[in-house]
Amino acid sequence: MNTAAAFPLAALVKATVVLFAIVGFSPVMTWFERKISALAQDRMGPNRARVPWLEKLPLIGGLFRFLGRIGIVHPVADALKMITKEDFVPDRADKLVHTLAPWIALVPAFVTFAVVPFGPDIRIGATIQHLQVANLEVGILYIFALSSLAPYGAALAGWSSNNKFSLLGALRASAQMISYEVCMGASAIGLFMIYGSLRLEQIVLGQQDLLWGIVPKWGVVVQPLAAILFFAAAYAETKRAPFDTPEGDSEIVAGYFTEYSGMKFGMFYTAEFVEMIVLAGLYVSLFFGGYLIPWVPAGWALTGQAVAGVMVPGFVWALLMLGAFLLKVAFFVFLQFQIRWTLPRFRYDQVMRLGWKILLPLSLANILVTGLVMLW
Amino acid sequence: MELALFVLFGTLAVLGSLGVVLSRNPVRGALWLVGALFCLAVLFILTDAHLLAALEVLVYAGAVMVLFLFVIMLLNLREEELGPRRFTPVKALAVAGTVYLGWLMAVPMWKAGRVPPAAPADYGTVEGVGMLIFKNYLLPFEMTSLLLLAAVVGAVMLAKRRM
Amino acid sequence: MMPLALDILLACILLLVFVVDLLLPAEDKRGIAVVACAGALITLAASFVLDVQGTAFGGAFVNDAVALYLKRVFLAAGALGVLIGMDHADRFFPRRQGEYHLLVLSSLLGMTLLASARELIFIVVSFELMSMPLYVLAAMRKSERSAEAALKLYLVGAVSSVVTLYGLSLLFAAAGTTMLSGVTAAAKAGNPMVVPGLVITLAGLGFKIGVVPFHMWVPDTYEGAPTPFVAFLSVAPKAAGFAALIRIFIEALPGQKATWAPAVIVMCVITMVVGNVLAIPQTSVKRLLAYSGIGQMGTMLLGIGLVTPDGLGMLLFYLVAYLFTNMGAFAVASVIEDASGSDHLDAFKGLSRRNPGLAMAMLLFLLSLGGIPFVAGFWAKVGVFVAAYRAGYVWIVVLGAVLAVVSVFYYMRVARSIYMERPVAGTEGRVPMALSMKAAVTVACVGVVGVGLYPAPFVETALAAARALMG
Repeated sequence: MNTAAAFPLAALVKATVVLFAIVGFSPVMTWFERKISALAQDRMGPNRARVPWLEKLPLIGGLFRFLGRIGIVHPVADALKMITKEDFVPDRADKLVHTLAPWIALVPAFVTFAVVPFGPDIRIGATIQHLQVANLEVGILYIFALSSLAPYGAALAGWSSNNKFSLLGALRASAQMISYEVCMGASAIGLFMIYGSLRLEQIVLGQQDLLWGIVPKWGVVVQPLAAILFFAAAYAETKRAPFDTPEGDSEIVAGYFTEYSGMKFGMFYTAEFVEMIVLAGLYVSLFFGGYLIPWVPAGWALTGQAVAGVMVPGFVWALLMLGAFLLKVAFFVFLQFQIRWTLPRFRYDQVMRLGWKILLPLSLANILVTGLVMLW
Repeated sequence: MELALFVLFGTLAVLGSLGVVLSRNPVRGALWLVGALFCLAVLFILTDAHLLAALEVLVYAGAVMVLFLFVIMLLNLREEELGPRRFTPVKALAVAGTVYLGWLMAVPMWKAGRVPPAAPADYGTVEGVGMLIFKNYLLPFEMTSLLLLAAVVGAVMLAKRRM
Repeated sequence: MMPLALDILLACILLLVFVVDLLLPAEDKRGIAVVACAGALITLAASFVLDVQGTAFGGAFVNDAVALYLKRVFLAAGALGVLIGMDHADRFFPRRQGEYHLLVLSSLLGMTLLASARELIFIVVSFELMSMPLYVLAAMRKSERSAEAALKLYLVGAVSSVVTLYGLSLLFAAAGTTMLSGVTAAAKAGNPMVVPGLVITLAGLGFKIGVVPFHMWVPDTYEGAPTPFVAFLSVAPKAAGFAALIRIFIEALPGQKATWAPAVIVMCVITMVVGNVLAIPQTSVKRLLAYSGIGQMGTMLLGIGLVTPDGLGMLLFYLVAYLFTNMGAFAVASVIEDASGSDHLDAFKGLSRRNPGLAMAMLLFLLSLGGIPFVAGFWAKVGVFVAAYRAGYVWIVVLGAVLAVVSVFYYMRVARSIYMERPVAGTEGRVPMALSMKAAVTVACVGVVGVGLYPAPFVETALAAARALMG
């Protein structure tokens, strides 16, 4: 294979679009999260940030006033605040590593989305395009490989800050992430056995079959236990409540990013949101049929299909599937917020016990049972 | 293009390994090693062994080195505790020995200079590696599981206080 | 019968030990040692009953005469090692007996597999399976000395593994396959990477069996680690190191012997001299046995360096003699150490009055180690030196004879303490011995005397195996 030919223009375009989509989504998510937390705590949520002069304009001024009232201007204010804040580096910190750590946290989170298929194959001109940045043979292993790098960001941030709380947070973070990675990988193995591939594209397409002619063969149907385990493990990887012991603000200030301010802190913050999107995208692809709409074969996006005598062209189906994907992802992002604002923090030993003594044995048992059922 | 990438990442891998040996701070040393492992993964990709590349990052960079870092951070050595940098005869001897050993190996390798046989069609693919592990090398693979069992038992026991 | 039967049986027993450990109450876990010991013995018996000759995995695994012979040596050493450690484990780490014997058995499994390994990755993995448990076992006592012993063993083991791996990777690069037969072919074709590869591999394996100049860890490790474990450590892993040397050098690379045999001969001569000379000033019996063991390793290594069927056969026979002798000697040292808390020569003073049977046994072992007629060690030494003489190394025979006299000198120092001196004040009472230890020492004595009186069957089997391997 010629490596140069593997990166044609189309891939570049797709990569750019996906990257900007994710970057664009994360501020929206901060707003989303604030609103949900307000809902959970019976408050109004953000509503004070206003756009200074534009509100006074005729015609469109009303729109800006509305946006201000629902708080969606807040993320902009947040971003401005973070960028303009003083970037403080502790005196005895390891300067280089301290600067590097947020990048190490952010970059793997971003590039992970590359192998998640977000739409069906479509026809553009004479060529057929996958709506996926890179269709790697190792597929999900790529995701696992990159997510296994995530502990570095936290660990190095904590270590380089030269602060006890930071170090404690870093140790907790890396221990927790290593522990749950094992379970995350193990719980996905059952899926590979059933769909016979590591390619996410194949796994998604494998889910368009119907069981007994009616039920879509989604991952959650054939691997219900794995669906729960995977979500729990992947959720723990994002280090959000109830798994936020590495931050543990009532015990260790803010954990590994205690000594971070300004945009460096913002990068950790962004990385967390990106991880949530990736989690939701991956989870949807593995267990909830990806971009598939139940009972609609992915092939319709190429050929078009008549419904009730009306010919619906392929691109409409493709758009519908893209919409389905976004909807599913949005739901799982929402679910993560809901969990975050509903459950109290686990104690550190509970986190460890849950990971090693409950989730891991269960996911191993899941592999065993899956294997036995497939043999039989 | 491939050659350029190979030279670039090969050089970076060597530099990374040198960084491991030369850096005084153990954490920095570990980071260099992670970098070197990354470059190796890229080299694997250049040979189309995508699975090996993914496993290299997943296992070595992502799991083994994180644990390394974890331990180093727990020890939390500071510059002052490492003592001043000194050049001892032993180090000189080590450098000389390494150079000699490198020469000893480089010469025959250079002379050998043969083109290795073409890789099989399933080289580096998930199926190919899977077949190797679960057919040809099944015995060492199973033994590795026993080895890990023994290592786990040993590690747990060493950590126990009540004997 | 499938070739892997013995090893699978041993693996099953290993897992059985795990289960038994779960079932037994925390207060009394002595049953585990019985299971482990019986398991090793059953496997040993099975090696005589079952027909396990043959190859598996395309020749990567082979059960030829040498492999079977070595397996029996390992299994006997394992059974004896468990027996020796039974009482010690029950007294010093009663709750962790299960782990102790499990680790001994997994190390044993690594050895039996190593004896059959004819493929590089297989060799490496079985070597690690053998070594990894040893590191932990050395640290079992949790004292500072025990930790130091374990750390030294571990560091040396890790470094030597790396070096060996490096050498093997060069051999692989030369051969393009991990099968040793491929390495042989590459060597025949004159691939220039074979020579650096085998030199580095030799250095790595030299570390493992503790020959000079890679011997520094031996005395410290022996001194600090739990003594019953040292009995096992001083014999079985060394024999396994020889197994790897036999497979890689004698079986796969006999054509290159002009390169490696002189290196091995030099190593073994230095080892013999250094081991025996450094043993003289020792006052700790364990250290003395450690240095003398280094010397013995040198003599055994001669069997490899000669590259003759005689030499190899006598090395194999030497292993049997050394097994009973050295394990017996360390068993006695363990009894004394557990009774008096020290392994200093003073602790052995007047042993003939405090426990005549034990004193007699120790004397036997010392005689055998020194190579006095007619105990097991005598025939072993004579055999190796005769093989050296036949191969034309007269000067080594002379040197060996001189060093044998030196060794008798320091062995007899221990014997003198036992028989000619009064007990140190405060240690006059009878030395207590557990039943299992009595059994172990008796077995070792019977082995030493039996092999000494009837060496023929052992020698013949060993020589036949060696001839079958070297053609």
